[in-house]
Amino acid sequence: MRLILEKVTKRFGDKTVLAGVDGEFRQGRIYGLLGRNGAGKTTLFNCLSGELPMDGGRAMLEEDGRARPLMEEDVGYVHSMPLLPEFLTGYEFVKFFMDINRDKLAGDERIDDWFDRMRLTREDRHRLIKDYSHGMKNKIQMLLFLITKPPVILLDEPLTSFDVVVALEMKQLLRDMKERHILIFSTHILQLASDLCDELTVLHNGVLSPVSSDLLRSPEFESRLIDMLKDDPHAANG
Amino acid sequence: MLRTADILLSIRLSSAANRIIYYARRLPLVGRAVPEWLYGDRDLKKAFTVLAWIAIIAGHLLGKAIYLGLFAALPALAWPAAEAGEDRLRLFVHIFLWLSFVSAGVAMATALEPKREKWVAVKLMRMAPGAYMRTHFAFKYTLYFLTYVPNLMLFVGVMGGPPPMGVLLAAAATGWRLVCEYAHLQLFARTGKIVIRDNVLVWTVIGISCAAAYLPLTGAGWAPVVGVLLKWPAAGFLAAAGAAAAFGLARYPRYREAVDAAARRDDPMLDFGRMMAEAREAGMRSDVRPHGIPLDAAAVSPGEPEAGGGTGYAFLNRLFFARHRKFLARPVWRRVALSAGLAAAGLAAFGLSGDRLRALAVWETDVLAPYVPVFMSLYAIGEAVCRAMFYHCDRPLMRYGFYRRAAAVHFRIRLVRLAGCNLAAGAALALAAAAVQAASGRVPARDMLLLAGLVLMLSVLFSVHHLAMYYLLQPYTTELNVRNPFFVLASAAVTGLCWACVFIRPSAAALAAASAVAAAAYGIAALFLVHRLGIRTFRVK
Repeated sequence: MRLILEKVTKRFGDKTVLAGVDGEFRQGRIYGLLGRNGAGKTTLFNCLSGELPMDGGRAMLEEDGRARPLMEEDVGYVHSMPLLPEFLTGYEFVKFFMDINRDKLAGDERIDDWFDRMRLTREDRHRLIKDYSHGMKNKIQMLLFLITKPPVILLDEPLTSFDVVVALEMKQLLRDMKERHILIFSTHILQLASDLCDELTVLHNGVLSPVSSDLLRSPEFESRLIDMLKDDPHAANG
Repeated sequence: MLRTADILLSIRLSSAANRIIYYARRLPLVGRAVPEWLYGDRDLKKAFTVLAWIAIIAGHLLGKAIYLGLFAALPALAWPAAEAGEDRLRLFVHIFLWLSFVSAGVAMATALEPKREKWVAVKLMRMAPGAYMRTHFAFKYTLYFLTYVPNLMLFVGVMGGPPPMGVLLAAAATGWRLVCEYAHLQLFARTGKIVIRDNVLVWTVIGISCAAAYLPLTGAGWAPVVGVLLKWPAAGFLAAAGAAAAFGLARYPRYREAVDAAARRDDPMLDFGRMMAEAREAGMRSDVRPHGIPLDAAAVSPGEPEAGGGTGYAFLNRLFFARHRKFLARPVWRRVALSAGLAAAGLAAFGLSGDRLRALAVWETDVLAPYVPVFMSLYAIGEAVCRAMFYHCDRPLMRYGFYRRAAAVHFRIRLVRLAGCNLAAGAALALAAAAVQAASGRVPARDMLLLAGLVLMLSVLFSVHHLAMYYLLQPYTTELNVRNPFFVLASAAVTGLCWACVFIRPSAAALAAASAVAAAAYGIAALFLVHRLGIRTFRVK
């Protein structure tokens, strides 16, 4: 399974944020999307998830050698700030989500099985989401896509505000998931990118540039990447 | 000071020009023709600076015209004609005196008021506080005098006085306000007291001033000082006192303390937008508690109805409404109580006044009906519920494609719920109206039913309207601002239609039939449009 981007463009007024993004992402790999603040990482994710319409280009999903346009329902999008209805308990929200996705449930796993898998205690799953920590909310977001298994999962700065234990759990989860999905996560933390990703791609001057695997593992990785990103006129200074 | 004046004026004009460009870009259709690079084009922006000057002066002129017209001239003109003539001018000046001299003199002091520009200029840009304040005074009170002159000349003329007296009043008002500014600063320097922050004192003075300003309308007399103010010596004295105060303000040595006291970083008044956003969010806060639904009550398998009934979107909405009764159930009870109160008041009035009140034609259905749409536009529950749904439920979920794709499903569920609530509130109102009509003894049962039918039809119509507007023109930003001009236009059009009924005066039967047809047609059209467009329109701005 492959996600293929062809000349994806997006403008806001006079500003071109995505200037013909080309790229290819494969199942079984974790892709790190690097870029400076304001480079357009979230915009690219918003376009792929259908939240924003593209101004040009297209995104295709190739399965068993057949390519078709990427649909909104093909994409699971984990936002950097968890977006959940806070008046529900975690349990109620997951039940609601499973109700409306009954056709996509493969096994006969119960709600509690999913929570056990995410290591959320019985007490926590029946608390209101508004009382959850950031990490717990993010786990619930991730859980949604474990349940429905969309082919493409986008994670916008997913691990930046976790404590070390949750961050380790989430990294392990992503590694477990990668065999069945195309996983792309955006970050500007170089260490995290080099640690978790199989491949890196840099969003720079509105286009994607793959970073070679040799560079990813080399000691000059950080300095070379910073040199590369320095002259991005799209990025926010400071 | 000239350099400070130049910088300050540049900031004000530049920010006014930016605002003009910003709103011009948001105009429907033509907005697209205004390019974003205009913000950075200094030469072209100079043209906008001219517009900004015009906008600033026009804003002040118009603001004062509205203030004088609504609060002083209109009450003076509404005075019975028998007491017109010179008294009308005296009444106008009397109101102006209490509001602009007494009330504003205590409640407003530029020197000590929190202002974003003051904070930016002194704290961020490190301008000398004295230079900033002196420049600010010069700009403010020059504009104050110059924009009062034409307005006061106009209104004094309208009141039957000689227009040059307007110049006299403008000079007196400007002089007095400068004296007040100086007094506020002196009081602060000696006691540390900031009068304008003493809410009890300020609102007491405002209350007394308003009462005193409009007291003559009840037939009571007015302050004899009014006559004095209309004479040259008194006005000249105030203007001279103002000049002396201006001299004192120019030489005042302790502006640093005054600015520090007024420009604290955390003062919410410095950022009115943030303050409003926080107030809106505070209004949306709700103590989410189970309300009879234990938090673990939903421990059932997916697809299996939970104890209260429903799965999926029905389940979600049932929990939402159960946990936010403040926004749906409570407004219904308030309206039922209001209807009961109106009925009780009507029946009590009949009891007290007897046949005289009963004989009025106002109780007849055909007389009442044209006012019902306007009343129902205010009475029906809708906008606040939509805002609550957005804030507590839809704001996070709208970001998920599955939720937007199912817009038609939750629209239907919510429409049934909202219409049910509005029908309950409408039924209470219809019963109250029927009780009063029956007590009047002059309305046949058929007409009572017609009025009840009209109220119920409009209850449904407004339910559809509020929800359709929310789903098709979703106007709210995450801070609960309304950012969709089409939403504002559509709301205004519906309000306009309701008011048109007051002037066209259709019969009750025609209005009820039209409401029934409109409710059905609007409901079907809304269902169809939400089904087709909801995925694109039902999203966060």
